[in-house]
Amino acid sequence: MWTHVSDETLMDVVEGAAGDRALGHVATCERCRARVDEARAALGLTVRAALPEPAPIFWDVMRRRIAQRLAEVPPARSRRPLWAAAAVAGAAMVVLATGVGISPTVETPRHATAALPAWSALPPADQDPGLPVLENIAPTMAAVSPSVECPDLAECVAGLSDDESRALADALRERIAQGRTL
Amino acid sequence: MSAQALAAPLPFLAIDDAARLSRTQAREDDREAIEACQRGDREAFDRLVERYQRDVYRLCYRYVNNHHDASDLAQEAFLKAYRAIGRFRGDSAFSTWLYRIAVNTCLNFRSSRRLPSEPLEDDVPDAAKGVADRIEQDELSQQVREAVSRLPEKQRATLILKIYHDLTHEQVAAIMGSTVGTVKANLFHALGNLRKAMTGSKTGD
Repeated sequence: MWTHVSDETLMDVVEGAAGDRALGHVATCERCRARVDEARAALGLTVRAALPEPAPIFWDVMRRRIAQRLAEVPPARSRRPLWAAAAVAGAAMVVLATGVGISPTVETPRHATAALPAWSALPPADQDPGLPVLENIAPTMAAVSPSVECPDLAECVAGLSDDESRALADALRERIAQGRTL
Repeated sequence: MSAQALAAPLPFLAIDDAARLSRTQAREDDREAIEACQRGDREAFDRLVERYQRDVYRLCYRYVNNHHDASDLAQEAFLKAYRAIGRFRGDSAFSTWLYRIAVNTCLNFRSSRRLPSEPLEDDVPDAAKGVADRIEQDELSQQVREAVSRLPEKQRATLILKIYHDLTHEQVAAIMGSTVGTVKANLFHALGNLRKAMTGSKTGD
């Protein structure tokens, strides 16, 4: 039975990427060869169809317009993975646990504020080891920042910038150093 | 035509090593700018706009075939990208991600406006070249652009990305959310329909 090659394979032929079997078929099949010729002719037309180029000043105008519209948009922030936020919060808990009962001057764990990879994927909630930790420190968070409305603690901590995370840890350490009850 | 002749690659589809190196450097530059954006640095996004505005505008122009809508769509695509950049994870090249946003913006474009083409050419035709030849070439270009802009949507997007933005089949597939096989088939159909349109026949999916 005589079967033609697929359109996908014919595209390979047009691009010079087809195997011997496809090439052999197209070389002997009038219908397929005609389709390849048509596609190549169309390809020749497309590369001759230049776009009218805007005046050079257009690019500056477009950049300015985009910048103006961006000014109305809140600054972009990466969504920090919850496990990372939990690491910050968990470190604060360590500070609390060791600082309150043992010493007023507590060494800050270096890993507590380590830079977080910007490319990390956010794990699904049911696989995120940080969530239980976050739930445990909710009272501490509320005590440190009572004025901040944060109905979803996980979201709130996950959305903190590096500076905000450091400020939270500093606030916790300061309270511990002062011997205040959280 | 012999099988050997058919096997010859088309020169304008080849990607040389210099281009690959250049892309690697561009990708690294993009990564730095994106990380700065994700820290809230708006000026870093301006660098990305400067780097990609031509490609995004041209992609949109190919899609709608007029300057006014292409300009609006390109701006809209950048705004969408800025709003979403906090969720960009670097699974693909930024350009791929941005093109995907631009293509989706074009696909969703439902404008009641139908403005005439508005070419803004800044060079003066060289009389020595022959004004008649120039006009003929311009007319042919316009006919091809119109034929491209009338292709079925997925065929149109596939052809624009592959032919005019020199992307690989894999990159186009990533942007279109389809398989490489589908991209090749769509491209082949697009070329067939384009040829028919240019010779006065009807187009179809």
